[in-house]
Amino acid sequence: MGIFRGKRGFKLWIIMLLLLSAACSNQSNDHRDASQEVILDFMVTTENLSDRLKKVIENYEAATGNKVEIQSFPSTEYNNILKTKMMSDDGPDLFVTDDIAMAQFANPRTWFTDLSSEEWVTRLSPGGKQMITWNDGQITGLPITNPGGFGLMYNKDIFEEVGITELPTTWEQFLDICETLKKAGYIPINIQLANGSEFGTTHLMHQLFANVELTRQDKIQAFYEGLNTNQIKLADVSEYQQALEQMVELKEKGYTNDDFMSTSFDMTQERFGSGKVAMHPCGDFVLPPMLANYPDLRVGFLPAPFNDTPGAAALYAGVGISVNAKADQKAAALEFISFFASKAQQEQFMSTAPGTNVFADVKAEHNMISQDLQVYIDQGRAFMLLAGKMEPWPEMEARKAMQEMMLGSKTPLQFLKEMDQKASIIAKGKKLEGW
Amino acid sequence: MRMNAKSAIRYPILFIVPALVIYMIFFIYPTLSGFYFSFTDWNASSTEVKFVGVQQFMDVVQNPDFTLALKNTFLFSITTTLGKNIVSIALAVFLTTALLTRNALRAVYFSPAILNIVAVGLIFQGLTNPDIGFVNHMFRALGLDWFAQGWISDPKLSIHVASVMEIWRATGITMAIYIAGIQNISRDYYEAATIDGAPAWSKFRYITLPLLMPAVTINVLLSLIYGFRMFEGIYFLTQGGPGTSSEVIMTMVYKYMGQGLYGYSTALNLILVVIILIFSFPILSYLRKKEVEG
Repeated sequence: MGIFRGKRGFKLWIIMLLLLSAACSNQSNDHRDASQEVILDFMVTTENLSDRLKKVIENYEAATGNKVEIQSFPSTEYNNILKTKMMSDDGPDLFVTDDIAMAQFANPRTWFTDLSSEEWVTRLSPGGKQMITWNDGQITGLPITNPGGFGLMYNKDIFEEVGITELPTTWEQFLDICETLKKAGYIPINIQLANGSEFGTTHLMHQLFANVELTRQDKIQAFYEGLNTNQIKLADVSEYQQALEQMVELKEKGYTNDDFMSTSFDMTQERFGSGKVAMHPCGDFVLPPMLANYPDLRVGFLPAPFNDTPGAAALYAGVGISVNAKADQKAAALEFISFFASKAQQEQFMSTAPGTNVFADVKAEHNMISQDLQVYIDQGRAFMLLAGKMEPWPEMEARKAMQEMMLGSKTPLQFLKEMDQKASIIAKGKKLEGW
Repeated sequence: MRMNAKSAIRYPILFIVPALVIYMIFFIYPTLSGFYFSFTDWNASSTEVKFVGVQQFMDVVQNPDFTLALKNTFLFSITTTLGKNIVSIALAVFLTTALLTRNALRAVYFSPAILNIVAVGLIFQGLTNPDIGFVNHMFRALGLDWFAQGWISDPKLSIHVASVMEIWRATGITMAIYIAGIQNISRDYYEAATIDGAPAWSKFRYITLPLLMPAVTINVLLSLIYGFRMFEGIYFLTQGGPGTSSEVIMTMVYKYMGQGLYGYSTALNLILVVIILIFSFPILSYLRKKEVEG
């Protein structure tokens, strides 16, 4: 061990330290070679690195000569890796977050570049703009999965068979339809509340909750501000209680499946696809796996009515791509987003996965659910879901409490009071104003 | 060759330092930083981390789910510790007799231990599904409809189903340790007892059990600690549901970590560590006193 002693040893230690510090130093300079080629770092979840997204990247590289270096990680690890990189100022130029609207609550806002003054923003449709705009008016991303809405998917063949020719516009009419379906031997509405699959039922809750936008139209911003600052409690919102009571009524009248506590996502797919149930609460993301097994299925989409109104749909924004506020290659990253937002790229992007698009000038093919949803968006009857509006909304807790409410061990009011308690824990933990 | 005093001390230090550095970086530092973060408001939506002192712990114990999760954690830990050890001692005694099929049976009883706990959770989810699960189908086929229960869908039963699953999964490995312990007991004791006319129960009570106490100590302690910090089994079987009926401390830790409340969930975790320490040391001390030399 004598080599590390004396003057020679001291020099060796210094060389080792220099090598170590070089190995640990920021790698950003590596991204500019002699020819000044720009290399964009792009972090994405493996699940969302679709072929159509790869095609956009390929087109961008061909058009600009820049390179996009993709770093994909499974969603289970993605958030932790992104956080570590962002916190050590070693974040990628471009990154994705789960739902664009919910990203405003799940991540530090300082990560995101505000894109609201970009030229392409003027081309957004009113509905599309609503979907991807944060509470504070910022636009921070573009969807890389199709945005959509929650409501009830219904089997058109079953509706026709039992003679339902017009969609219900009031809750009473909706109950009549359920009665008709039940008498014909069908389960009117499939409720999916097995552990791990509860989201299938909170979709219906979110859709019914969205009606608060219609009942409080011009006071809606103040309403959400009240929820976010603890001035309004969920338990005091009569529309929310009414929405939950409607859900319980469906169960009590026997219009839902008895085995909802053991009904999983896969069971739902089989039941709906094989024509055992007439309606199921969901978004259009359930379609591709269902149509793969039941290609002849004909489905439509309607929001469950609310009291004496046709009801509103709840929107979600989809997984979004954003520009790191501290990006090394910010100009190129913004250029990539503009390229992706172009009409030609968006139309090519939508061509392989039909659905809702956020741009007004993009000719995108719809799927069976999104074409009906578009009608509600155009009529101004579709609104961002509560989880995208209320920062401390406890979505995971709501899913579990939904089980108890549908089992009858909690009333709708108790459900909302519990959500108030859980929201308070999240809000206090995040040190939100007013809590 | 003689070494001087400096050389004699240098070599042990050179061997210790790398291991110590790794231990400090990967164990001491994360443990201490975890301890520190439990006193902060560290969360996902802010880049600032502020020291909040014991307020975090007060918030945690006031959480309406905390009491139930704590109760379930104790219930799960105690039930699985008793179940795993009683069943595996019985199996170990049975499988150390002169049974022709004992090696095959040992393999059969040990096999659940090699399964991934996530897979076990999903298997039990399928088995105990109240409508399409094997368990209820079997009861109904036997005309025992009364026994067909809601299992994991029933808030009163879900935590017990999770306990049964863990007992089934881990009994094999506990049994293997007991078998090794029994095989180490000298046959002379049993021969002497046989000559004295001692019945089987007396041989077990006065020879096997006392001489098996070192294995009991390790198995009870491991079962208890594993039970307290159980997460995967419950998460993949019930996800803490229905509602919060099978919530345990570790599923709460996971939930709040997922909601971005890192400081809060670290505080919950620290409470669990303290509970484990409070219960493990007296039990270890008690069981060590019961151990006898063979």
